[in-house]
Parts: sequence; C-alpha cells; structure tokens
Amino acid sequence: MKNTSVRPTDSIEAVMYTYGNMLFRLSLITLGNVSDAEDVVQETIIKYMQKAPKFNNKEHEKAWLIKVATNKCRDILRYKSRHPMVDIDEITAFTKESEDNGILDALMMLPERFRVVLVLYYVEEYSIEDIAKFIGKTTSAVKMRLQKGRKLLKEIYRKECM
Amino acid sequence: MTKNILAKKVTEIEMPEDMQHRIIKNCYNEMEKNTMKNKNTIFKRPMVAVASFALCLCLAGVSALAATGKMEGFFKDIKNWNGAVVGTSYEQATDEVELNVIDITDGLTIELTMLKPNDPPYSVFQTFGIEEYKIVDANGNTVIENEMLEMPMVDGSTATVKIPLNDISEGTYRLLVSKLIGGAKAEQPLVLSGNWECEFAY
Repeated sequence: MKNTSVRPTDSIEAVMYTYGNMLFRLSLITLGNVSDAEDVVQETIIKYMQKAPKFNNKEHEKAWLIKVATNKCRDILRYKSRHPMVDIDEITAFTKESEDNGILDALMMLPERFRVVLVLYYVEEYSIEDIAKFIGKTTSAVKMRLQKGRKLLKEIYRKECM
Repeated sequence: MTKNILAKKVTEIEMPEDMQHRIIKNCYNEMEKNTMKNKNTIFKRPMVAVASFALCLCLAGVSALAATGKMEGFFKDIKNWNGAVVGTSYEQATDEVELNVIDITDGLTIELTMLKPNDPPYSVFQTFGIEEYKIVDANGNTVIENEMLEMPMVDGSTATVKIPLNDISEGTYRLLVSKLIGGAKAEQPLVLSGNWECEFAY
C-alpha cells in the first residue's frame, strides 16, 4: 500500500455512502459522543482522500478505514481528560426503530475497550486477528475482551430487561 | 440471542443525512484548501527563488555601485512628530553634483554643476544653491559655519554661488557642504543631502 497523489474529490461521496454509516456507528459506540464521532468520520475520510492509499480489494479498503477510525477514536479518548458519555437517548435517536433499545443501553454501559471489540466482532463480523490489528492488541487480549464484554453485556442486558 | 440483537440494533444506527452532507462539504472544503496550499507552494517556491535572485542582484548592484563610489540619490518623505508627511527631501546626492572653486578674489565663488541635469529633481530646478556649509582650516578647526539665503539661478546645468570670506587669515582651507537647495516656481524648495568638499587657498 503506497501513497499516490490525492484522490479525485468525487470519491468523497462514494466512500461516504459506502462506509459512512459503518464508521459512524463504530465511532459513536466507541466514543459515546456524537460530535466526536462526526469528527472521526470526517477526519478518516479526509485522510483517505489525502493519503490516497492503493488497496488490493474492498475488504482491504474497509479494514484501512476501520484502522484509521479506531486510531482516531483512541487519540480522542487518550487526550480527553473526561470521557463524556452521552445519554442512551442520544444514540437511539440514530436508530431506525425506537423500540427495544435495551441492548444499546447495556452496550453503552460497558467500558470503551469492550464496546469497540464487541461491535467489530458481532456487527462488522471481523475476525479476532483483524480486530487485534485494528486496535493494536494481541489476539489473546481481544479474546479476553470479547469474553468479558459478552459476559458483562449479558448481565447488564438481563438486569435492564427485568 | 444477545449477539443477534446486538448486531441488529447496532446496524440500525445510521448517520443522519444532514451530518452526511456536512461531512461531505467539510471534506470538499478541506481538499480544496489542500489543493490551494499545494498550488501556493508550487507558485510560491519559484517566486521566492526569483525574489531571492532579484534581491541578490540588487545587493550585488548596490555593492558594485558602492565599490565604484557612485551612489544613486533618492527622494525621502519628511515626517512630523506624529508621522504626517510634511515635505520631501533628496538624499545621497553626493555623486550627482560637483562643487568647484572658481574664484576667491571677492569671496569664495563656487560653481555647482549638476551631473544629471536631465533627471529629476535637477531637471526642474530653476534656482540651485548651498543650504549649509562649513569652512575648516588646515588643522580641522571650523572657521566659518553658516546657512546661505542666496538662491542663484540655474544656467544650463550649473549655478554659481558666492560665499563671503570675512575675517579669515591667509592659509589653506576646506569647504565642507552637507546640504544643497534647489527651487522651482510654485514648488517648495528641495533640500539635497550629501557630502561635498573642496579645497582652496586664501
């Protein structure tokens, strides 16, 4: 993957419509903040346009975008002295169906390290190895986070539903 | 079961259209800014090189001129205490005017020759004289220091001024002039600064 010249500007819409939602929900769930999530999506696309890396296939392209977005999320979390958690209503406002949002409630109650792993694994259906690459951790750390995150999510979700 | 619900609910999260449009617009702006920056870089680099080269040439020119002892005169605004322009002077005129002693029988007669009579400010002068002068003896002591009120008429490219030599003994003297003055009808007199020197024996 080598840098080439800047991508033509009409690729902005293409990448936005293809990956915008995926990047947004990943950033939103990781950061728990809508404006930060918007910034991450924007900066990711700008980097995609400016760096203009060459990809082998669509999966490669998607993985690159996820990697950039997770890095940007990590930067935001690292430099933020506080991690303002949005009300779950703010996140559910972006879902199509307003009913049965207990799972999102439960998800947002988890620490960030579990949320990002769960979303990449269960929603984006990435392998543990891929997730490890995205977040810069070992596969065993990802497995542990998945295991613990699942357990915590179940517990919280059950409590919420009862 | 929980996994399926989670995947379903998270997938339902969608970016609002206004946010999409905002991001697209911002990305376009950012790309445009970037393009402009690149264009500026492309445009500015040679411009900087050309400007540097021109500056070098100017400096080389000034140095060369200084080496030959010839310096060009220039106009300069005279400003009052609060910065308002109240007049104009002409600086560094040393190499543009020549002073020669032509007679010392009845005072000191000096011929001022404009070396660039066709160039401004000399081309417009109708009168031309000495504004300030000093006469020093062989030991460097000032024997006369005065301002002249006389404004002789210009004849071609020359003007002749007469400096009274009262109360000076015989000997060798040097006339030092630091300011000349030129005038034209309906124009404010223009003072020219420089350093002129000529020797005479009385």
